[in-house]
Amino acid sequence: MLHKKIFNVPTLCRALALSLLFGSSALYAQTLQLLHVQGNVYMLSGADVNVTVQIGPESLVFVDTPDPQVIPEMMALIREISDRPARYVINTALDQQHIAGNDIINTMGDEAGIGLFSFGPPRPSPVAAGGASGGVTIIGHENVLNRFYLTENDIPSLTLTTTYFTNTKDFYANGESIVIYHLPNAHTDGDSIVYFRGSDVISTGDIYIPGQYPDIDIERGGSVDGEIAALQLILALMVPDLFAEGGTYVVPGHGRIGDEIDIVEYRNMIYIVRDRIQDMIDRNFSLSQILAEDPTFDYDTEYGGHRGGPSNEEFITAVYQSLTQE
Amino acid sequence: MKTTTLVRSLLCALIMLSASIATAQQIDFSGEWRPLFHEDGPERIPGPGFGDFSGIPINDAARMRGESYDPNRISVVTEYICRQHGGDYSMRGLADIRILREIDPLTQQAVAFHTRIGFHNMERTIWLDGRDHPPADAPHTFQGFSTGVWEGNMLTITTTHLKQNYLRRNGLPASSERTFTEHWLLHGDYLTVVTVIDDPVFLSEPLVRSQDFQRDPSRRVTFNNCEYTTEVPINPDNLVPHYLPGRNPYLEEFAEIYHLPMSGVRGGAETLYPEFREEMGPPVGDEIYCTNEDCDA
Repeated sequence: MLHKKIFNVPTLCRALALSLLFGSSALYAQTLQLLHVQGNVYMLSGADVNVTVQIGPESLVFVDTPDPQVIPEMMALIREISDRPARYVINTALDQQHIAGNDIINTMGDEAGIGLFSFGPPRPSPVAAGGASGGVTIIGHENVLNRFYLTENDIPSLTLTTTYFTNTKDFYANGESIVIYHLPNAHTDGDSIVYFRGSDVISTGDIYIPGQYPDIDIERGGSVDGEIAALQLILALMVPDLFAEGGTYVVPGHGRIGDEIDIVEYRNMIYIVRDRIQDMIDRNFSLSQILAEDPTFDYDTEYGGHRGGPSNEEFITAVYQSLTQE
Repeated sequence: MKTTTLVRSLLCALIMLSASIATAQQIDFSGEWRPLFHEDGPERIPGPGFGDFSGIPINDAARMRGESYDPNRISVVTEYICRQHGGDYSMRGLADIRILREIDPLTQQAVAFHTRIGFHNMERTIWLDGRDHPPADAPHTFQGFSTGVWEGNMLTITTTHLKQNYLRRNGLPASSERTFTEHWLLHGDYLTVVTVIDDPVFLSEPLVRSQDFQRDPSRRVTFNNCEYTTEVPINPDNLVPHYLPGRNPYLEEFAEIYHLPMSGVRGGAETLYPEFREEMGPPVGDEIYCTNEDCDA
């Protein structure tokens, strides 16, 4: 049962305290909103990254964490419908936008009255899966961990995964199974999607960003074929309701909530651009010649860099590098 | 005495005005309607010719999308098989439409119109109660989210939150950022719906179309079922059928059948205005009129 508190003074006080601590969230032009997706799953929109929140009778499960500045406001929205503690954070990739709030969320799993965001009567100390000391288990693919510790030195110290996995991982929370799939070599080599099976919602991370070209990060192991394969897997998991609408919903890394046909259109765009560039490579075009041909011309008005993602040149270059690397 | 008369007159005028507003808001489109095809019949019934982009103010990006489109896509991409028309296109289809009015029992004011079209069970709700449209990041749907306001006896409807779809069923795309405005006008047993589409992604000017319906109480909108299946053998190397730029061999087919210059069928805002006739030039070849079926005869 959810504990609905429309006006929660302690929550607001804590939110105010954290606002002072971490600065104002006024930097974000868009108003933060907690949109109900389906079942137990909600999407925080309006931050620099979408945060998927599973809210149930036991706990809060987060997929990705936002800029610390928006966490007080995010928690105020969540506390309007739940007083449960945080138990899991799943990071879909190593991008700083997706892990920026890990440290703060990691403090929210303590038993009642200790953590800044804990409410309600005291509960037994949490049993931390994977050895998490604060009661919050932070999960990511092992490549997220490896790249953080071995190759990424420019990311500020953040609490990273306390539990990592190699292919898939599943667990049960709030009355439904949650399955994490690793999607190799898509946006990076550490991407995961999270499938809330009871609620029938998939959190895709940056594999799918409506209205933007995908950020295929070649240096971190991304590839265009991996991106297409990832979208194919997402499509295989999705079941639409009647007449190709509704059914399984997706929460993208950024942008609006989608369903199957949104993924289809995105897959089609990448597939067609990949074919065009492959054709030019087969005809011995150089990268500069391909850029001059503008193979994304008809997609730029819908996905071009003016929308905040990679520019058409960056996308074309990434696809070219992906198709020509050994 | 004069003051009393003035007050009475004003009161009377106010009551009449209120009654007039209330009456305007009670225009009822409810009923069973059948579509009329005296406008755009070839496009709406057999379907548009391949490469026929005429009459649509598309931009260059939309034209390139249309030119790379392979009609096999709707058979190979199984997710498309049961896809609905967009809300801005659904009234151009062949199916009947049912309109129901929802009344608030306490105020007796119309809260919404509900429409259902007998193809793919397309349903819309047009809210009349002044509610806001959903947040920007809410899901989009094929029919979109619609709100209506009265302008005299005309209902003007604004629809947002649409899914990407098509402006024309030959590959001309419609983006999920488009919105459309409708004007519903009742003339006895005839309903006219004027649709104005704004698409910042694919149109350089608004696309204006109209559709007419005739009230017919004998019609019944039925339940429509759709099961997607594999319609043609799927080539794993061609999961999304398309033509590479400049290699679509069928683009001139429509212009050749109707003896039109290519400039007249490639679409674009400039082709919508009368002066384009002079620029376009005369028909190409013999001036004949035929349909797809009898041209070769």
